[in-house]
Formats: sequence, structure tokens, C-alpha cells
Amino acid sequence: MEHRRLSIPISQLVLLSLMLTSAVALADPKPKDFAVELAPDTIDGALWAAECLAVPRATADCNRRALQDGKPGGILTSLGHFTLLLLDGRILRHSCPQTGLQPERIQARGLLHQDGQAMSVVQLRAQCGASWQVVNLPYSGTEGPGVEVGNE
Amino acid sequence: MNRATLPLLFAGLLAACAPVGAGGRALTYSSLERLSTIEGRLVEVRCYLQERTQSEEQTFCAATDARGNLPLGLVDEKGRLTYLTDVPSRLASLVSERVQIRGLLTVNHQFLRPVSVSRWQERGWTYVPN
Repeated sequence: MEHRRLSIPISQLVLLSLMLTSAVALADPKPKDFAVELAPDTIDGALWAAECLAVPRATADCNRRALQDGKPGGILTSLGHFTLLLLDGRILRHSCPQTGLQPERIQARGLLHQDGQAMSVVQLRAQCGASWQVVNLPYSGTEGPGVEVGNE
Repeated sequence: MNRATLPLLFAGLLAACAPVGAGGRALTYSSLERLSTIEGRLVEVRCYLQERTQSEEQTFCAATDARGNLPLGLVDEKGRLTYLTDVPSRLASLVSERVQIRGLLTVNHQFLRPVSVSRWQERGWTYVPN
């Protein structure tokens, strides 16, 4: 009995493996993090109301009141650089909704402007106690679904 | 040591020990008593930094964002942007207008805490009540 040998050219094998790889990549259930893709810059530090930052010996109470009023806030890095966050200041008062306290640290991803003086924020995370929580950005004023622009 | 240099040294030491804000000397108000006045166009910072023009689209973007309480700034005739530390929605109706704001200014001119606001109207400056 005669057996025929199965012979496939190498080029076809390469093509086949490429097709298989692409199929696996397409079927990958991992969601893409668009926030990370859109936000090239990250800053990290303490949350401050801009108004209180400039007052000598400002207290945590000044910060709390200013943010409560919806005054602009930002991040003071460990190097002493302050970046104003371009979002509704009222978002910042809800950084740690479960404890109701100010976050120990805050991290923002977004696009820096003017040598880091301000940032258009795409994603905001707050350290509340031991855990990091993503802060909801409902009043960001940016275009897109689920975004509300207006007064509370 | 020269006698004349002693007072200078003392003044330097005092200045070094003077209380400053959390962001360092540059970000501290230059004076808590003396008010500065800046004149310019009131802008909503996010839209301004994205477009930097005064088109109809920019005005619409700025007015919408300012009502949504996004930070405001003042662009003077040299194009320098000073951020305002007050609640943005209070001044939303004045966005894109020529205004004069009097308030506390940080040493590096980055932030202005408004105390009083005037807007330019046909014949001159009109005080805007809070």
C-alpha cells in the first residue's frame, strides 16, 4: 500500500501560524484600558485646594471647606510642584465617599498643560485608607456618554 | 564682618524663616494685605488650553464648562494665563468677556484669589456684585 507524504510549504505554515495568532488576539477577552491610552501623563501627591495652598500655615479645615464649596483643587507632588486639575472641584470632595475623609494621596492620569501647571484629567484615583479607589468623574465637563454638565 | 552687611543678613534670615504656603514661596500669596489687579479676558482653562482661539466653538465650550464648575483663568494682553481660585460657576456668565479682577496674587502669578470683579461695558468698567 502506498502512503502519500503530507507536504506543506514553509510559507504556508508561516501564514497559517500568523492567522492563528491574530485569531487568538482578536478573541482575547481582556478589555482595553482606553483611559490609559488617552492619558500619557500621571501625577501623584497630596490633594490641595488651590486657594489654601497659597496661604501660609493653611489647615486641613481650609482645604475641606474650599473643596466643599467647589473651588478648584489640584495635586501637590513630593517635589513641591502643584498641578491644577481641570475638573469640577466638587468631584474632589467625594474622593473617599465611604470614609468621607480627605484621601491620603491622589493620582491623576491625563494630559498636562503649561509645563505641568494644569491637567485635563482622564482618570482619577484616591488612596482612602489602605486601598486605592477610582473617583467617579460625573462633572468633568468633557464630551461623551454619561457625562453631566451642570449644577447639582 | 562689615556692619552694613549685618542687617542684610538678618533680613535674609527672617525672609528664609517666614511662613510659606504648602507649595513653597513661589505659590504663596505675595501679600495678604496688598491686592493686585489683573485685566484680561476671562477664560475657562480647559477649553482655552485646547484651542487658544476665540471662535464661536471655543466660547460655547467655555460657557458650558464654566457652568459645570471647571476652573477659570484670566489671560492678560501678553497672553499670560493666571488661574482663579474662586468657585468657577459664580463667574460663568462673564466667560470670554474683558474683565478686571482684584485679589490676592501668588508670587509666581500662577493663582489669583478674586476679591472684586469688574467687567468692561460700552463706556467703562462696571463692578460685578457677588
